[in-house]
Amino acid sequence: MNWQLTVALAFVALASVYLARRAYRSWSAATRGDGCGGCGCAAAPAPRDQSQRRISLSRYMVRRQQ
Amino acid sequence: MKSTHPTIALVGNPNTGKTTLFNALSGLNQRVGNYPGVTVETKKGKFHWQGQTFNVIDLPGAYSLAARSPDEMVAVDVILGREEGEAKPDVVVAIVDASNLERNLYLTTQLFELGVPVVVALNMMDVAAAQGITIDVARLSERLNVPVIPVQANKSKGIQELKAAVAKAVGASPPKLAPSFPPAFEEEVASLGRKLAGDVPSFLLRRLLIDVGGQTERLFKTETHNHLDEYLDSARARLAQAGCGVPAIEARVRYGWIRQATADCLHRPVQRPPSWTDRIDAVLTHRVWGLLVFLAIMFIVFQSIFAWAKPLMEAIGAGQEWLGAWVGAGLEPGPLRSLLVDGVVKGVGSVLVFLPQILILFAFVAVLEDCGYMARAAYLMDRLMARAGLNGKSFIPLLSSMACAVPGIMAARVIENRRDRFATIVVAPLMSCSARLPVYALLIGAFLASPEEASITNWGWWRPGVVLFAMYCLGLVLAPLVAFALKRTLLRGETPVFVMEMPLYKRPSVRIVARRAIEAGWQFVYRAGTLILASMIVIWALLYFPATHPSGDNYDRLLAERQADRDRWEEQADDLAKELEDRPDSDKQRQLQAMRTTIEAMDDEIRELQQAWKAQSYLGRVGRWLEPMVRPLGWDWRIGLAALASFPAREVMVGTLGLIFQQGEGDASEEGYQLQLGRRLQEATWDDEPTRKLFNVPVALSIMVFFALCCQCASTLAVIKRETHSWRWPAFTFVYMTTLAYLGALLVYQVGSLWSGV
Repeated sequence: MNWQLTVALAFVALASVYLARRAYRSWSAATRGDGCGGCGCAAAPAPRDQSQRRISLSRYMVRRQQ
Repeated sequence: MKSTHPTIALVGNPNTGKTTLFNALSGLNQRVGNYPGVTVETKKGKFHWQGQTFNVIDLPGAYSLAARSPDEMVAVDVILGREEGEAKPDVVVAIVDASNLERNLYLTTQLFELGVPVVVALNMMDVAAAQGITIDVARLSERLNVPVIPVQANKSKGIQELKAAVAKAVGASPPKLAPSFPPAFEEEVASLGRKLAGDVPSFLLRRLLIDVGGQTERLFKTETHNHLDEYLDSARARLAQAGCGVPAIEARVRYGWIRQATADCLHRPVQRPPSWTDRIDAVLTHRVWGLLVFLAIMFIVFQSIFAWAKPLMEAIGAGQEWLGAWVGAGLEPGPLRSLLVDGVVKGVGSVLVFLPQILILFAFVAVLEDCGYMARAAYLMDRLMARAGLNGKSFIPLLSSMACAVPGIMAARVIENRRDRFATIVVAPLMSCSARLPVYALLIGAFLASPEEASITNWGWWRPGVVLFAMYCLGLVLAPLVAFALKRTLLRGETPVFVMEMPLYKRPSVRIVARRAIEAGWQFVYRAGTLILASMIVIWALLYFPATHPSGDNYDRLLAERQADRDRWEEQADDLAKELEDRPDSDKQRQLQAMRTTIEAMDDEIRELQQAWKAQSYLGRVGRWLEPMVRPLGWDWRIGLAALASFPAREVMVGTLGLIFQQGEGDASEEGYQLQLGRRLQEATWDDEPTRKLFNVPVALSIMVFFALCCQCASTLAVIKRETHSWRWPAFTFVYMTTLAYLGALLVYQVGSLWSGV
């Protein structure tokens, strides 16, 4: 295989891996943000389900007493 | 792991300068804006004071601890210490707008009841002074029984004093004064406390009684008593009979207390003269003048994008061309050279060349945001939104979507009602984001801007601005219509009342405008260097392989040979032409003519070879399969392919067109690849009808309308899934937008073709 083809295919493989990784992160990152990366939203946290993030009422009572 | 440093929470009404104060305290650079709802998530930082480190949390704005929207709920949970993994704040800094003291103190009085030390940061003292409002800070501090520190966050004034007060407040006792509710109300609170058993704080018991159907009620119902409804209903009925009906009692008690507390420390002019803001608002929020000014501003913005960007675009184009020639000269014809020259330099470069237009667009957006105009635009749009079943609050997310749909969709968290929020999320991608700008700019530049007509006298100068504005308006008009349909079918519900605080007008800060434009420019370059580069490399490969000609030879080599032959012929023809200039000779003239005809034939052969190569490539085969579907839109397989390839990012459309139509050496010219691309598109013909131009005005408009309406953005669909916690809504958005885009493009092409007779 000529060297140009080898290097070109290596670039294509790298680009494909990058795109696949990016697509996976965009779609699966439920707890951490991963927006399009070009709009400043890549670091934006995913929306939180407040009911899951909230501690239980009983724990809250204990916490307030501390 | 729990931090050992004290945690300070910044709390306040929307648009009181919390993030500006957060930036001043922490030295960070979080985005600020002169309209409510910029912050929808918590932001964390640190500051140091006298050797001690403090964690500081910036919270979304809230008018009350009776949270309604998701962003308000985040704030309330953090303040109450109910957030998992988040330290309970040691001190709450209540940021209060000094020019609107009483209303801002409403939330502050609620904070007094949480059992956490409170420090009041009296922000916007300069604005209050300009309105003739004077506040006796020492007396106010005495009345409220908490430290009150005057600050001017945007100028970092009073920050050291605030840090000192916060440090002192850590570990201090919580405020002792707070509004007292009538005995009948307190009796119900005590009775509720006994019923619930356990040590439920009185603050929560009050919220449980006051916030009918609110977050606290939902919480207690699910976690403690499933049969709490009946008890609460009867308690509220008893309170109404006793003249303490909820929720009005809270406002009455708190505002009564605030009036007393501020009576002798707040002085405002008896009759406030109309301010500049009032005078400007009389025009800008007028139902007719306001709309005309809005249209005029938008037209100026879009026209400027074309007028001012050209010199910079030409400079970038020249640099890109130099780079392409340099890379091309250093490598033999082959896959790597093709990848670097066609895929990377031309493909990515044809997108990157639009950087100046992005900078100009975002600078204008920043100016409009920072001066306070965006909130007026939202107010103007409220009428339109209300007809669609939404309210003006939806306009801010829609407006944010003009930069990028992802933060726009996230900004919908300020909308309380779930149905309205979902309707806004689903229509937000209809707004033309900055990723569509390169597509519009390329096609408008090539087919709708006529440089020879660019003079004011023949009115040709306005065309680019008007067409670009029309593309942006398309989303703005269709979004409420789609929302209208949704609010009457899938998301049926009442239209909420729109209440929005108008920020004061102010001179836009050069720093903020420059920062926003540079940030947007950097993000565009980053995107070009990552997502678009990777996409272009993959698209190049799919258009390059298989590269074997039916003769068994390689297309790349064949083309290079043909090109070299052609260049030799051209060189000879040029030499002959020079010779003829000195010594005219009819035989040689005929010979020159024959050479020119041969060169043209060779050009045709090269073009046919390129087209055959593209057509039999992997992507070309997909494109040809796609062609029957896109032909009614006036597109051939190459345009359809470019549209399909742009799914990871819309800008890839421009790069793919560059790859398809600009393959080869490229002419050395002053115009650069991007303008060359426009010219190549103008010259492109149908494969099966070589005399028929592929692109014309209806085709260009059809492509632009398709891009204005389609949802060619994987990130947008991903964020819709995240925000709605469902696959249903991104799937619905993709299907309805693609259908709308196809029908819109079809209509535009068919009507345009009939109209223009092409």
